Amino acid sequence: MKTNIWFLKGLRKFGRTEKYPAEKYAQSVMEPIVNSNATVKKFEQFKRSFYLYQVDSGTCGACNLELQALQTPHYDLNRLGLFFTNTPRHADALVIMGVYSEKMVKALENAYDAMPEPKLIIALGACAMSGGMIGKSPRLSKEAIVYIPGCPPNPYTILKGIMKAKEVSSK
Amino acid sequence: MKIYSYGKPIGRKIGTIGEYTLYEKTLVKDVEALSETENENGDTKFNFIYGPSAGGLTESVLFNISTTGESIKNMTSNPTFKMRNLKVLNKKIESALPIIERVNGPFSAAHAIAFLSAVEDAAGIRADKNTLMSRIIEIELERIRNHLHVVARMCEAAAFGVPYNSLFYLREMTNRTIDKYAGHRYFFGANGINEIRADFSGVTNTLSCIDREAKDVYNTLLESKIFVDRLQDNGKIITADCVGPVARASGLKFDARLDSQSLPYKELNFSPIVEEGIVGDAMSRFIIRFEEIFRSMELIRKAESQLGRHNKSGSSRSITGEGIGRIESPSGDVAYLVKLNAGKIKKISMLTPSAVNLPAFQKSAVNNVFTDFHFNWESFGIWISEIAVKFV
Repeated sequence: MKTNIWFLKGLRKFGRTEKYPAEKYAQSVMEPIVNSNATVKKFEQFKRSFYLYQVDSGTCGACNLELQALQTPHYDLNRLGLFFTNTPRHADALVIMGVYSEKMVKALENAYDAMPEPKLIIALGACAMSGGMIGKSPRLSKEAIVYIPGCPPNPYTILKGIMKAKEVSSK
Repeated sequence: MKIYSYGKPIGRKIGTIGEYTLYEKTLVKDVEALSETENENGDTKFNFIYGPSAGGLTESVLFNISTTGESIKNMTSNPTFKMRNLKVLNKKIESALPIIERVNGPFSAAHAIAFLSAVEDAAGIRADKNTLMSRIIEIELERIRNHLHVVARMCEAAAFGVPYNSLFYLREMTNRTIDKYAGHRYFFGANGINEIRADFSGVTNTLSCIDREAKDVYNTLLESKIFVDRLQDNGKIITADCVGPVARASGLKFDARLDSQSLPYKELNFSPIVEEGIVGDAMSRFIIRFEEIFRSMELIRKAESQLGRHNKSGSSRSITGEGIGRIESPSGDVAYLVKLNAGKIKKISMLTPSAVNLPAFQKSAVNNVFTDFHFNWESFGIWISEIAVKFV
């Protein structure tokens, strides 16, 4: 049986396992938007690792999949010092996805309150930014430091957005 | 007794002594009955609340699991936390379609095509062959992506890093293939009334590497005794109240590709894959999903060879009537019932596979190992986004 060793194939080329063909997908990659109204605190800590906790307030599922795609070998968010965490108590950033839904308000607030300082919010996708074509955005996303546009945003755009949030708060 | 006396509680409560409760200075005859924390087998039960937002869950859903720690004794779920109201009533079909596509992003093509089939049924339009074959390719590509996602999540639950990464790599390759041919990773904007805004010529060649690598991972996983052991007998359910791969894994020949007229699968000589032998557990669902990936590749190959020239797009301006469209989405039947008046939606109802399969999942979880909950949950491939949704 043929061994499925994609990672070795990459190493044999003496380079990265996969380079994102940014030029090829340039149309789908968008620039993240920094929220000028958000209070930007300077956090030296975020120069190193950066832990993300995601909350789905009311998505169609596509944003969830694209955020999850960052863990795939193509994007590999860990190489940039980014990690997902299973609890808000270990998180630096709260990633909000989806439109406003009444029952998720409490869950969102609880998650944000449980996060240790310093902390920040990232709004992912058109629904979290403005409500998109579905409804209105979650209240907490107005305090987001960075908005990541797209329906859903391309994983490369998401990576850019997260790095931007880290950069803005560390400068 | 010089210090203690019988009577009312005085001072702090110390505990139960015989048939009395002992307080600092008194003995009171009001012994509290021990709360029933044990069942007849002597196992102590407790309720474990999982969700609505927790690590390991892709979407917001709450599970109330009654467990003894080792096995699940009962489970209820609440999928309404992320309830969305989609404004489609009294809208034109063209305006409503982008919202229908967003009922469930991962099954966007299935929802859009089921909706459009219902509209075409109401209008008495039969889409041309190129559109129908392209729609089949869209749905099968969606099925490949979804099944790769489901089996990858099952590998993640087992902490099998290498197959998990390999399968997610293939999922991303499928996404890029969809992007290349349809212009969007989730088919948003690719469909219309008797219209397809994608050209799938050459898609089979692009998919060949995915086919080959998926077979490698599948064969390797089947040889892993640890992996197979955690899936076998987990989440066993045999019921006719389920659809899609869950039903086919239970040995039932349920498939909209076989019994729905919305898409011409019969022209491709389609036959569903149904599990035989030991059926209805997470392992059966795992096998069915992998086998369906390869069956979808075949269907795409056949459909691509039948792609022809596109004739003319339909207009929704004057459509009045009632129609129904039913499609086999990656998780089972998705159906739309629409009532139209002069091209506007007057009434719309939807049937989704996740809503049908959720009660079956709840039943299947009982008496399973608590720590194997994730294998069972992922094997059902349920999307909360298509349950927690209302058309207004």
